[in-house]
Amino acid sequence: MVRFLILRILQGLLVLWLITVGVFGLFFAVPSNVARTLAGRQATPHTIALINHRLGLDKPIYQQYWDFIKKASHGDLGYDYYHQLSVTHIIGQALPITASLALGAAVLWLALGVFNGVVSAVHPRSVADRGLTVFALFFYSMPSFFLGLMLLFFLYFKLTLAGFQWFPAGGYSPLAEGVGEWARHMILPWLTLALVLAATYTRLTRSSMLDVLGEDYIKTARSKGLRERRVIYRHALRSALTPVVTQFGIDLGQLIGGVVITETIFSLPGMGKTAIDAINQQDLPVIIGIVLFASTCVVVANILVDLLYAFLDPRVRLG
Amino acid sequence: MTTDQTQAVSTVSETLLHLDDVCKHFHVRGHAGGGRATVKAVDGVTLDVRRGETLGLVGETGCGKSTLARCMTRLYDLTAGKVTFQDRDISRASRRALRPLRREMQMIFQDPYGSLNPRRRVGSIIGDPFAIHGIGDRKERKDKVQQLMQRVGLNPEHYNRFPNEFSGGQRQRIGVARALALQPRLIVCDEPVSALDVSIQAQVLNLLTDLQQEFGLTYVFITHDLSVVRHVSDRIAVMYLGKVVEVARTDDIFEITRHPYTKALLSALPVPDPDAADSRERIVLTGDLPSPINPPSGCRFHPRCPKAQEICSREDPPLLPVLGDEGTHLTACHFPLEVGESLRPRAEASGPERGIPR
Amino acid sequence: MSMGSSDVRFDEDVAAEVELGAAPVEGRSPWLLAWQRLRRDRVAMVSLAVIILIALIAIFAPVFTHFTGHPPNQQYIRQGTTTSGLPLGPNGKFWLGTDNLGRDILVRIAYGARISLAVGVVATLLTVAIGVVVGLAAGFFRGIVDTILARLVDVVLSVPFFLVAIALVSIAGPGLTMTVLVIGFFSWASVARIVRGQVLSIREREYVEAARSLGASDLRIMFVDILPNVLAQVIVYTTLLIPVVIVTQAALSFLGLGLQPPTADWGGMLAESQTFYTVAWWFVAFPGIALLVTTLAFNLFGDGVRDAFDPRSGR
Repeated sequence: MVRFLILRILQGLLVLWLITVGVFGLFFAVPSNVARTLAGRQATPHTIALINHRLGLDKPIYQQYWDFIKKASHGDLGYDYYHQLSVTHIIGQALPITASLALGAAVLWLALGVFNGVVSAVHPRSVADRGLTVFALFFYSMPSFFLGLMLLFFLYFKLTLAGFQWFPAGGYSPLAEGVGEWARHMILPWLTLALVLAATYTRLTRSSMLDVLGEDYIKTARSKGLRERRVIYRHALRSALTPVVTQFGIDLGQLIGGVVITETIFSLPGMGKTAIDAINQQDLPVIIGIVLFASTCVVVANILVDLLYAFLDPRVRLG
Repeated sequence: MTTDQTQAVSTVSETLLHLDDVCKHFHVRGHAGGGRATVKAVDGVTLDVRRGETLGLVGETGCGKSTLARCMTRLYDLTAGKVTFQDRDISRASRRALRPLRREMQMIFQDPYGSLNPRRRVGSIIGDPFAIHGIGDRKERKDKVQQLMQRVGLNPEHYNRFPNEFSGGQRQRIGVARALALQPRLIVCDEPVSALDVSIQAQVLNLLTDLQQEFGLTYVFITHDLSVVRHVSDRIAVMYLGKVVEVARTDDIFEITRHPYTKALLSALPVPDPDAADSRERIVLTGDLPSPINPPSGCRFHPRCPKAQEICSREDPPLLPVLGDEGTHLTACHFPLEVGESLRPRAEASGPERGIPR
Repeated sequence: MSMGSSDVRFDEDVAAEVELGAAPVEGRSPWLLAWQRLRRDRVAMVSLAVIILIALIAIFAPVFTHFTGHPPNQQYIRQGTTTSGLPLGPNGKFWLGTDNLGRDILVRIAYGARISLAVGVVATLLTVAIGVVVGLAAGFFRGIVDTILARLVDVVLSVPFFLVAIALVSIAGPGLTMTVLVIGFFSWASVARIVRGQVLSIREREYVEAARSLGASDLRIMFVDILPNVLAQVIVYTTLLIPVVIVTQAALSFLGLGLQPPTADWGGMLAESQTFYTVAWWFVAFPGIALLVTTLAFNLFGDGVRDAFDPRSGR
């Protein structure tokens, strides 16, 4: 088990390293005009060269790469020249917002998705099942940005017009300033993110449960006289949840990037929106920093999922 | 197929296939039991296959017979040892060098549902050998395939059907037709009837023996079913845990059983007459088949052998004629049985082997 | 028990003959069976009809221009916007209303269909082709080839998609080519992973062994024996991949990373509609509905295809 863990971590590090090389390589195929912008319009090439040198941008690529790696391993992800802040600081500010969004939505979509999936599977082809299947298919096909805009229209605009100022149009209220306000700002974003994913998980749970419920050992459990509820929750659900867990790990890791759309629509200054803004400003250090941070999250999430999988299914550990 | 007919078909009894101390080990990357392990599926087999005969190869599941079959036809690379086919050493031959040889030796597989590609038409499957070796144009191939289908008892008009439209027995016949296409000398049959109903088994077996007569084929017939092997084989080789423990003419194996393991196997054969069944000696071997990763020292059978003594755990007995047997009867045992000798250990009373107590 | 003669028809053959009886001598291939199952699935057939309809709209987009007299990028400031420069709702001249620049939404949606379908289908087919080749090679040859390719696939799948798309666009600039490249870059890996898994299990089947024992070359085994058996899964996956690609392309445009204005594209239209959603619901609704309907149709059809290849009772 320990050996498995070590191997997995090494693999993850390899992947991360490859990503840093890839990202770095890509970015330095394009000349950065940071120095030029900082220097101002009137700058002479001489001034620009000076700034380049000061910032260390004229060193050879592998030198810059090495410096970068050294600093990164100490938590210093570079400097954002436009805003005069360290990238780490920027990420630090954006992270709680993205985390609030991601984790809140995650709880919502897991609960909704799994519950619906189980209900569907346990009463196949019933009215409830058909209804839930249609619901799932509908939201599964819904582009999240369209959903977000619709939610804004109906639950913010129309509702506010009608006198119910329940939801704001966007923006973020930090947790420290009150849970109520925080939640009020997050509900629409949560729904935008969660409904689509809940649909995916409903489908996944449903098909997985149906597979498991058809297995012989379930028939055995029933014929032993166990109460149906116990059969479902203790026996069937446990096995059926494995693919769900795997998928959840993957989704959670990818979520850092996936929140981009939601953050844009609801003006939440999280990691995604920050990255988009950085593009428009050609702010390379921020982009690199966010990409690396997010990749790390994905790799870590994958490792955790593998671990969890190995824990649940001994066959995996034993090769 | 009786021994007389075998003699009539083959002129000189020459060796078609010769195996010399063949070993096949698999490396297993397992974490169970820690680290790497080696499965010694076949561990030193020396065997001859004579032209025109049917050599039966029997043993329990896991004794290595299927692996041996694949070593014979060089579907596997050998870990050690030599394989000679028609006086040519093919032990180290490359795939390219083996290719023309593939026309001379073929295999029939066990699973009628797995051995045919479900997405190909039957005519195409049977015609594969021709296509692979570039023989004939489409028309000629089609004719040959249809002839083959007819010969094995299938309707040639079903040329364009898919495997799923045939029954198990018919599928095996498709497999036979495919093996027969290039008129090979040797056909290795890996449990060809084990997956079929008993009534169908008889039909397929009869087909095989007919074909052998007609085309002068040599068979290696692998099975775990002793009643079947008695019916078809001229000689029988008994395998245990990767080694051959006894090999002799069919009648000799059944009447002059030398090796304790063979005796135990034979005693498990169902006998139709209930009285005879009750009165015969039923031997139940204790313990399970040991793992081929860690075979017992010396004679591999010694932990389960009622006649084992100290030397059996130290020395692996060589395969040679014992107790005055002729050269065709080889046994690997330190204490081979006399004819009619009982296998029960001295302290054994009646007990569970006798079945329901009266 | 020997039957002797070679022309004797075995009992079970006769029985089988009676069973199959009037069945045509032409075999019923698994493909044909799947297609028949698909045809009987009404939901799938309706979805297919919708898809064809959308395709027709895309192909005949110029017809819309012809009938309304409005080219897709033509701004009608006077007739198409209110006095304060806001979009006009659906009316006699503009059936689905106008956008903030007075452009005809109906026509733009028709032209947008071109982008969505073209990218959706072409990008998907390209990436699937690459993924299949890689997966085949990795699964069949194993060893070093597999190790390298599988690691590569792992790396690609570990990368957070949107962020890297953002990163790539920041270097090379947005546009159609970028979109196709970015999407393609990530999709092939998931196809490759699936194909590899399939190949690994199929290569252990007995009919592959049989082909080897006949002396078939590696290439022949790959394409004649393994590929046709992998194809079914690939087709199902491809059909379900198309809607994902369509939405992803629209999402990239929405974020400003894909096609740029003034090109008529559903994602781009939704992006522009953000500022005006309180006063012009049609600007949001119609492109959104177009996307939703397209995705829904492909998803339903994809489900139907999957069920046709692998029917299971009780689903």
